[in-house]
Amino acid sequence: MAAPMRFGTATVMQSAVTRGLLRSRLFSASTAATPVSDPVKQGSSEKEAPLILEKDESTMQRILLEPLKHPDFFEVSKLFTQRDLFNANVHVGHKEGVWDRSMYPYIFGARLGVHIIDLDQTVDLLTRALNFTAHMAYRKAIVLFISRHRQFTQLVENTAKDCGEYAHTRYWQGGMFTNATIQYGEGVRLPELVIFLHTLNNVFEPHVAIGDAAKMNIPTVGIVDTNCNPNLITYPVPGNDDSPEAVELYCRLFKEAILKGKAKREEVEKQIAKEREEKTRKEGA
Amino acid sequence: MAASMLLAKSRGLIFTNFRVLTCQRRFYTSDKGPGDTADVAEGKLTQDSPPEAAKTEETAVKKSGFARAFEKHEDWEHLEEKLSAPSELDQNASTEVKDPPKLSGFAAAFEKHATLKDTSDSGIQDESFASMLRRSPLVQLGDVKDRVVLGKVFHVVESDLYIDFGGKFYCVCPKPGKEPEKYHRGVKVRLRLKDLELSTRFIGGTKNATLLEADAVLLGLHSPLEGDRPRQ
Repeated sequence: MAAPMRFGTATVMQSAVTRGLLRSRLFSASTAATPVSDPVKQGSSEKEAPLILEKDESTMQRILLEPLKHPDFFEVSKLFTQRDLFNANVHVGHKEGVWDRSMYPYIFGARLGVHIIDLDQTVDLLTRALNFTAHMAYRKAIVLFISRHRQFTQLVENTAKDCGEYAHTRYWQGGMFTNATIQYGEGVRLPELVIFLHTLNNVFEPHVAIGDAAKMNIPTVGIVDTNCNPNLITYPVPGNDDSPEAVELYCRLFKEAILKGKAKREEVEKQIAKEREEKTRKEGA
Repeated sequence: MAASMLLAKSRGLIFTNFRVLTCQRRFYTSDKGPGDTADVAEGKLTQDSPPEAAKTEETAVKKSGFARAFEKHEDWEHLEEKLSAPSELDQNASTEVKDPPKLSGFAAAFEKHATLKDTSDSGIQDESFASMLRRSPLVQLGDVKDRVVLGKVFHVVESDLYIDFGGKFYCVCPKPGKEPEKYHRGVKVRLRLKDLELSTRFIGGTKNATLLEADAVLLGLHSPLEGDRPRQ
């Protein structure tokens, strides 16, 4: 393609990497018929026998419906306090003249020309977003972190790596979501959750992926500052996206939520496998 | 207006030198010592010292109007608790040891100041956002123009220093001609702030354009003085 080549080998490599990653998940995608075995788990745990849990309707029902019965199954509200947000400067917004009018409900007020974001709302919305992220991770969704803020490129990519998910912090090619089958071939698995650490791109316009994710029915979580438009984002989280303390906090929280979701899933599957084993042992004896 | 000034001043008392605390009188009613006038960060606030502040608890005269409001201000309630009573944690931990004698005056203030950094977060439990905001250093700073703050250099690009002073954005200052080798990553510097965010309207635009940067003048290196400035 002509467009990505112009921006140097780094971008081409990065998009190739994302392409490759998107494709590789195809082969480990779960379907109802085949037994699911996470390839990562198989590779790492060589000491114990890999758990291949044969799943039928009732088991899947049990696994998937159990977390939905609790309001905070993964205890994400305990990951942070309002004081933590405050100390990380999450409440500090841009100057008054730069605001987006759609942010009006989330703004507490202005102090000497600077907008202050209402942290009471932020706490509530952030817990909702983290809860959703944890649930998605529990259900083995692909999560894509997006940020076009060059100061935090490294941080976002490392966060994605640490929780075993994906990140895209480079130039966004037009049809990555909407033209995926032609650009990347048939049967490409798109991310099931997109997390925007920065909603705007480098020219202060909303990131193309916000609209594209909405078109493809992919839920989005996004940190919206006072100059962002929260309308198309499924779980907007009003907060400062320019200070390093704040962005580091968000990255840490999302990473922990995802890791919690994944850990819980492993735990539940182990539990079921153990019960099955005991049952067969009893029946055999 | 006056109450808020006093509030800021009391925060100044908390955060500045020990020199103020050498008086034997109660902490929050002590006179302004000579040390405070040197504190640039407090600016105009130090010059005004309302006479009501000198009133102590010992006077039997009934207070009215402003003085009464001053006494009953919610901040002073908290201060009294912290100064007079020993902390709950001590009581729970050491059941065998008798209750420690009630501290007052300098001893109480010293105790408070010594553990200030540890208890700064758990000072007031269940604080509302509005309350937190009101007491925050960024708001207490007031109008940012020509305020002196501490910053930390977190990145250096050839002759430019990227300095974070705790605001939303960092500021970029050129390395000074005097002792440029002393300015590297991690160095604490003194800044005179001009603006928290460089944004302005341009003709033809609906929203203002922003540079995502603060504006400040580099004053020099930070020499290790007692007490931090309000915004480190």
